[in-house]
Amino acid sequence: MPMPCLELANIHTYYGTSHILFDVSLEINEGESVCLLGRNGAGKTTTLKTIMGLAKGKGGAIRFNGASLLGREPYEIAQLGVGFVPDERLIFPDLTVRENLEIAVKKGRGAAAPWTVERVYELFPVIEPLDRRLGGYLSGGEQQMLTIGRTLMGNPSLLLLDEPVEGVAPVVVQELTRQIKNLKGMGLTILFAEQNMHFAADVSDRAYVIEKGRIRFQGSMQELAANEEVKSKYLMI
Amino acid sequence: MDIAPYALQLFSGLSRAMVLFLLSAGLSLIFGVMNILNFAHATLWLLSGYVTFSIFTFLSQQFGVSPWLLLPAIAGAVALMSLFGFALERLLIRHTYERELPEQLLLTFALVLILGDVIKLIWGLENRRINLGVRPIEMLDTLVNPYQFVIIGTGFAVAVGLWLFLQRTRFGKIVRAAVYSRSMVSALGIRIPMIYASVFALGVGLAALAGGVFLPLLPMALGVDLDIIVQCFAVVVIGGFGSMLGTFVASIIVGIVYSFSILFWPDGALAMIFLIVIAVLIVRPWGLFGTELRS
Ligand SMILES: Nc1ncnc2c1ncn2[C@@H]1O[C@H](COP(=O)(O)OP(=O)(O)OP(=O)(O)O)[C@@H](O)[C@H]1O
Ligand SMILES: [Mg+2]
Repeated sequence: MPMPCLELANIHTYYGTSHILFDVSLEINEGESVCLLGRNGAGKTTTLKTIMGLAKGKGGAIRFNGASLLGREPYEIAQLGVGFVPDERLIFPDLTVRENLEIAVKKGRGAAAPWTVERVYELFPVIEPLDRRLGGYLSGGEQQMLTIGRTLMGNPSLLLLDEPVEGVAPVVVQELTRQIKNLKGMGLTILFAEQNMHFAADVSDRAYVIEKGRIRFQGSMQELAANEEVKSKYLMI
Repeated sequence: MDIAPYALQLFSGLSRAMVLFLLSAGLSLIFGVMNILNFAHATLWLLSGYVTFSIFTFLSQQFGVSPWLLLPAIAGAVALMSLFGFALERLLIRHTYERELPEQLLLTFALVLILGDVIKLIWGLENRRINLGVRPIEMLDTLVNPYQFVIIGTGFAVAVGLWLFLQRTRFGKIVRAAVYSRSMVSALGIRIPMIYASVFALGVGLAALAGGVFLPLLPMALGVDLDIIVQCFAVVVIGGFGSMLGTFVASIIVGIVYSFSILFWPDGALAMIFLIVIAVLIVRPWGLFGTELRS
């Protein structure tokens, strides 16, 4: 039996007074790659932000490797080994590419083979020549690779990836897909938020479908592919 | 044409500019990182002036009067006030980050009143000033207080130092990153509460430095803080929040306009400054060197 790595149980999230997530429960085992699919505004980003402590979840529980995450600050959650790659990317524009990576370095975690700037460049050779370029002057694909690399510098064991191939040129999507599979091969547990069914099918083992803040489906990618009702009702496919 | 009065106004304008810069730099950093408008910033500056005065007086009693005692007095005040700033952020200020703007303003404005009363209680109503006994020097057919050049030199040196600090050190890089997105900085595992407290301490430390170096030139007096904070707000609006270069240039503009207005239109100094503020707000609402704020 694989160990459950992340578990959300009956989570509700509010932005101010608007209720966004309703009773969300999900579970990810160690080394698994799971996608959270849903349309625009379904609550994918909110789910990831709730795990990361960037949106305040209420109700049940969020557990990561046995530790409770509810009520913790984002920096504490990051220090426990959760890495968040936001869809807005949030590259620091007046730091160089290298500085963007170095700022995220954490000592002491993941002692086996800690991430370094050089290892990130090995994974994403495209950004190596941009080492001294300011973060504000990168293409969409370069930004995305830098964002992922920056999060890796903290040596997370769970990666939350919010629509990593959104707004990225098709050639770069192929490259990113390969690199993300690479990360999976290294044993990272990954939770994707996705709208892109093709990309999701390519990189994940299991899927959850979310609509209007509620989980509507869970199952393997094959089960989802075969379920026309769920696909047409919640994913517009 | 007699240039002496202009030169005098230029020097006093530049000295004022340096004090404004030291204060506004902290104000702008604190706003940039924590999104808090610290009304009490100039009151902390005022308090630092009194603290410097007391340390100076104490040292003079111990070791005999010497102008050089100002250096340890300033160092001591900067250290004490930075610690005080750190504690203030941890105990009080941090509770307002999630609050509405009016509540934030209320708290920092309450600090203005409380610190003002503390000053009254400890130092009384009398103005405090340090007389270094430096002799005026003759320049351009007039007498100039050479201490003004100390202030101007200190201001420039601190500006360069602060810039290097923000540019080169890890802490400086984290601060610049946090100005862009503090939640992303936190999500990267950086202990953001420590950054907040340190930035506040740094801002108060800079204000304390300004209070100390200013002391031999003008007396510290109750109420001066409100006059100065208004000018600091003008500086950050003109220069653009979050831009050190903008803060520096705007400090010089405000300092010089202020002292030259006194020459031509003594009552209109503040009015002149606010005309510039309004012009900037109309033409470039984000300031001369600022960037448009992200939503
Ligand atoms: N800061 C906020 N304040 C209030 N409502 C918000 C906020 N952020 C998101 N929402 C609302 O919460 C709901 C879920 O948004 P969320 O960003 O989680 O969706 P998403 O599935 O990530 O969508 P997308 O595919 O567009 O990224 C939406 O209705 C959105 O309008
Ligand atoms: Mg989203």
